[in-house]
Amino acid sequence: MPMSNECKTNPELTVSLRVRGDALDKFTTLLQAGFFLSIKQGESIGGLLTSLPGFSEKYIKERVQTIFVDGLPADDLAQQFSEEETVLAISAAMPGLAGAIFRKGGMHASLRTTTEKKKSSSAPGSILTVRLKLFNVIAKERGVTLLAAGCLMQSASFDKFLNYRPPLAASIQSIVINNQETDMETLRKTLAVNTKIVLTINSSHDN
Amino acid sequence: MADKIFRVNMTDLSTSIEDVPADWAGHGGRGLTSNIVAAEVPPTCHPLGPDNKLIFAPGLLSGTTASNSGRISAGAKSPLTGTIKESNSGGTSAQRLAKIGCKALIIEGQPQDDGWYSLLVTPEGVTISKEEELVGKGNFAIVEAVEKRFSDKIGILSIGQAGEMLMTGANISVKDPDSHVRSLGRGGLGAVMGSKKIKFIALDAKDGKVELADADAFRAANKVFTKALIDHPVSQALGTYGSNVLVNIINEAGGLPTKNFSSGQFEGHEQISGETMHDLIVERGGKPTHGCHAGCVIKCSQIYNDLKGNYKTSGMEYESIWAMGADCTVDDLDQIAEMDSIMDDIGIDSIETSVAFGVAMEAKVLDFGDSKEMIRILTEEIAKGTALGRVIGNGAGSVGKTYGVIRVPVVKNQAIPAYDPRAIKGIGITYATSTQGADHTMGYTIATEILGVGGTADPLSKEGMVELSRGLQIATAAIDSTGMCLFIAFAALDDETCLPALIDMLNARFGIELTADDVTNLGMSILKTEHAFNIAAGFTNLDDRLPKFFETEPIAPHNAVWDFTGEEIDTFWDF
Repeated sequence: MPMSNECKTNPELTVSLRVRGDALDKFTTLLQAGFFLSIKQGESIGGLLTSLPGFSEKYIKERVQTIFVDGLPADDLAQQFSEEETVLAISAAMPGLAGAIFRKGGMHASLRTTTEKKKSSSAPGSILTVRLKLFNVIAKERGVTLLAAGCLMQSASFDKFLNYRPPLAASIQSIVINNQETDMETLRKTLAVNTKIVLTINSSHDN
Repeated sequence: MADKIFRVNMTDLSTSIEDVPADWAGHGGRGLTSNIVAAEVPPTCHPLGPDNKLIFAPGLLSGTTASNSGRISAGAKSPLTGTIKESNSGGTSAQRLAKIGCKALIIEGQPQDDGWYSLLVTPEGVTISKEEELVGKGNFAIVEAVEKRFSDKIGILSIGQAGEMLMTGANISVKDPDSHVRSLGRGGLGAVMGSKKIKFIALDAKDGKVELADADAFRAANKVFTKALIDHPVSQALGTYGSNVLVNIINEAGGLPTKNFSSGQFEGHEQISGETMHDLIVERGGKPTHGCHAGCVIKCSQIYNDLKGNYKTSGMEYESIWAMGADCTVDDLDQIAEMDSIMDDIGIDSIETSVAFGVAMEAKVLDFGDSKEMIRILTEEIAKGTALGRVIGNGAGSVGKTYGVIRVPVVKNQAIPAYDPRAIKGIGITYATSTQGADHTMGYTIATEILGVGGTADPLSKEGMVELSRGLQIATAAIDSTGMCLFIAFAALDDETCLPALIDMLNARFGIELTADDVTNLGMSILKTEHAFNIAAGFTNLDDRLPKFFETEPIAPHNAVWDFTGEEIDTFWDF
């Protein structure tokens, strides 16, 4: 299922990769760095997540156990976005006392450090940008679908990923930039001069 | 066969087997080691002198088929902190000791000569032998040689070069089911073993078995307990990524101490995260899921292979990866795995030593991020006992004093691990008040309402946070006595059948009728015993404090500081 257009605003450079089938799910770890989504002011965390392919209400309720909004733990999926730029990080259940402290609605939440939240800086009705980071099993479980639909992300994140995961770079079988087939050297040069790309990754077995 | 106390006197090289005193009968693991230390070790003694004692004790359920019950405790007066100390580990030794019928192995005294010794523990007793071949060797060589000498079925507790040289960061290694090593890591207990001149302890259970008072009831309770563990989502995350899955989320929270605790976020966190580590392990034919002891159903450990697909190390925990990684700004998992392997071999705590490196980096002894120099110092300085090696091998506090560094993250001279107390204040209270120096495992997440230790104060108030930390520490002390891995805590938190099933197993093992209140009282009693030992050793409430820099240096990105007063912290002991 393709990602909604609303999520893929400002499609700058498009980079499409075909990779070996056995390597496809390992690219999902790239999503720990986050990808960008555009939403309307007032959209909620739950509303944003349910707009993504594979994120049913049941999946979100059961799987998304830890939520951070701009580095602060969040307990309520109804919490609305109001900043022009927000980092949203979501994870499945985490271990440790720290995991319990930060868990959504966790019984040890009182052990958190209380930090004042920023006041809204966006105008009513404006379009906001959310950088969504996927941690733990969520990237593995939903990342293939997201990457197949295309994710807007920082070029530097992908470039860094290719640097520390050389075997994955070797698993790339075709590279298409803005509908033109090209090679790894050109890709790396492109990443160096463009801030963001829309990255689509499919396996060689996909149609 | 009833459990016995096995005693070894290294001064006159005598051994004995004794009945268990009534006061110790209800204890195991940490509860037992702490009670024995409190009863038999003079609190003001030198930790490396003949009056200190080293105690090993399996947990109350160790040696049974209870899932995740394979933790062994070691206790003594710590040469690192000067406090009472208990450290526990997986591996095969807890189950071997329990099957030997050894409730506790107490090692006391000190040899009159400069020679080294080994111990062989069997159901018949302890044999002391002179040891020459393995002196100066690392733990890997010891395990290989001792297995050849006896059998690959035996358990092994050993020290590497760091323990021989009495470094206060030295740990005791515990052979695991794959003949690799786990660690009784914290507090310098390897130095205590070195001070007794014991290079290794071989544990041969022969055909020993642990008796159950009610086997059917035990089996039924274990079934419920195991299901609660397996079904829990945290167990599933741990089984996939290990505890290192915490890197990304703690970084997101701004609580990942970075560059010797000068920031709360690490730019290279993605390169060292659990998610990345999982992929590298799979890519290289390692094992992302692996148990550190027989009967573990969570399997948070892993086998990490090098670039060529050869075994490099196993059981890398979040706290160790954080210490070598973010705290020293090393963003390369292969370098971290190399250091982890070296530290396992020379037998030194990977948290204490890596935090010591962070302090040394601040002192410009080496550059931040210079993992090659860290590896050189580990192999050329610490393993060989040079002056620099001993400074770093004696821990973060030692480096701070030697080089005049102010930002030294220690409590009671033990390095603070992996969670910045400015960003996660509840953990800071545990660091401050722990009877054993800064330790993240002292106040684990436990179902406080089941054990009735949740407290009554407003949980959002400072008083409430102190009260909750106290409850967690009480419950943790009790769990540490069972031989259970602390990772059972997550299931215990959410599945109301889990803790009752654990109590049912204890009852079925010993034919007793424990209740949740008894468990709570056990935890309280352990904490009070440990605290009393420390007071008698000269510690005061002023030692229950975090270093000053946490109050004066806001940590990015949230610019939080530690703001608990001494008076607020001191209420911890009002029970």
